[in-house]
Amino acid sequence: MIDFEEELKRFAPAPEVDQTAETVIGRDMTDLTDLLLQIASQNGGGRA
Amino acid sequence: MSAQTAQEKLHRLSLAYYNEGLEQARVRNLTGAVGSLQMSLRCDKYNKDARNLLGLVYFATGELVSAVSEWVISTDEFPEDNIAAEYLARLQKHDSWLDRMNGCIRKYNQALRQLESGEEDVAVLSLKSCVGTFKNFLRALQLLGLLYMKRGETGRALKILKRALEIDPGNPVSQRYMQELKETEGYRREIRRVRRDKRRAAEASASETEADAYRADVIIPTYRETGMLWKMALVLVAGLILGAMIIYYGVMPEIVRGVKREAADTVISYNSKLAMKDAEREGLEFEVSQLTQDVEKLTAELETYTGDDGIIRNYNQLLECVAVYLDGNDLAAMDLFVDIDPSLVTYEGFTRTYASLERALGIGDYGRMYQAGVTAYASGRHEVCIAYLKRALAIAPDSADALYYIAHAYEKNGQPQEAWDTYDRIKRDFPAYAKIGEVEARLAVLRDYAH
Repeated sequence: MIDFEEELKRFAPAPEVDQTAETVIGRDMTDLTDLLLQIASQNGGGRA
Repeated sequence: MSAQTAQEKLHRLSLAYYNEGLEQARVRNLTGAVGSLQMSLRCDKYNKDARNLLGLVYFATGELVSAVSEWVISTDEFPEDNIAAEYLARLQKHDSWLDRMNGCIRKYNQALRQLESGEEDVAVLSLKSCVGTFKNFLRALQLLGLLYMKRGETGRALKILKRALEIDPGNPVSQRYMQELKETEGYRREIRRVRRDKRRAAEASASETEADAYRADVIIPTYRETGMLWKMALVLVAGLILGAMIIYYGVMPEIVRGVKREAADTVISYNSKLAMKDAEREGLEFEVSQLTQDVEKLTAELETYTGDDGIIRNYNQLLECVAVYLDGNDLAAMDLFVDIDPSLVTYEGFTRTYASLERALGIGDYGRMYQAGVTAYASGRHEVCIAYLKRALAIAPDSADALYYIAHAYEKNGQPQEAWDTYDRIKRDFPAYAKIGEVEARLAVLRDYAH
């Protein structure tokens, strides 16, 4: 049975078009390749 | 594993997730596609195709800003030859549409605020307005569906949730709401009502068909709201843009893959043909090899007939020998006879003639053979000498004299190794031979050929 009040709380506001720039800038763009290279660099392997 | 290898693996993993996302998008499993494409970008943020497709999937679920964000990042990373730039250009070209969609997003956010302040009725109105314009705004549809369920408006909830599931059939939130709805008594009532309405409509349609026959000539004026035209045009334009984008990313890769598959099939086909040609070539080479062996075998066989020691030569020799013997020249006939190799010929006539001639010439007589050998040696016919004396040895193997002349004949005939071997045999087998001193002297001379 759905708890409607709890379910409603799950709905978050949607970003509006004029917030696109903030959304893009605030995005964490780190990927696994970055992490890998970072680890390799710390281990003295340097960039592949 | 080196960092480079791991980096390559991550790139391949990113491509694999992209392919999975593409397949999911093609079957409208948009939730699954978002997950796969996000994973693809987590592995490799520079996977342009994955980012562009993720934007399209967001766009299809009404996540306008998320879609635009992905395309902006994509065009920022890859300014050249990027379809995302075209998507953004199209949106900018239809900025009034964009404004309206943004207005819908505002209404959705407004509805959330209204719900917080307990204004549920107003929130429902805001959401109705929102999804009326922004048809594929999934989260607004889900929220409205949930509110209808909460209010017990099962029919409306069903209609809205069906729309949400048409956009993304695999969406777990929509599915959960629908499942919850199906378990209510209201849903069962609604289904019964819908069935009843359908039955009535079918009955009405049957009587309408009858009535139509009577009013076929009557023109019934129609009325349309003037505002409907531009709304329809707007929806049409938006649909066209979305359709074009989905076709580009949903269908084009499949077409490209189809072309690649076709090319791969062609390559496989050519490879098969090449393999067949190779097999044919190998078969032919094998045949050529076999034929070459056959030719060599036949040549060797022919050589036994036509060679210096061949069968034909033996026949000729025997015929000549017979002819010379019949002329009364026994010695010349013997010379010819000892040079015949009877083992090469199995023809009965040959064997019989050979045996007759052997008896007639006294070839089985040691003394005759030995004398003929010594005569041949004295006349410088060393090969003939060897032949006679070998026959003499065959009759009397203990003849050291025969061996002694044979050894000399070899030496004179330019066969020093055979000469040394024969002298050595005399020394070993006949140490008390009268001419052993001469034998040892010749061995000393030919010592270079000693084993």
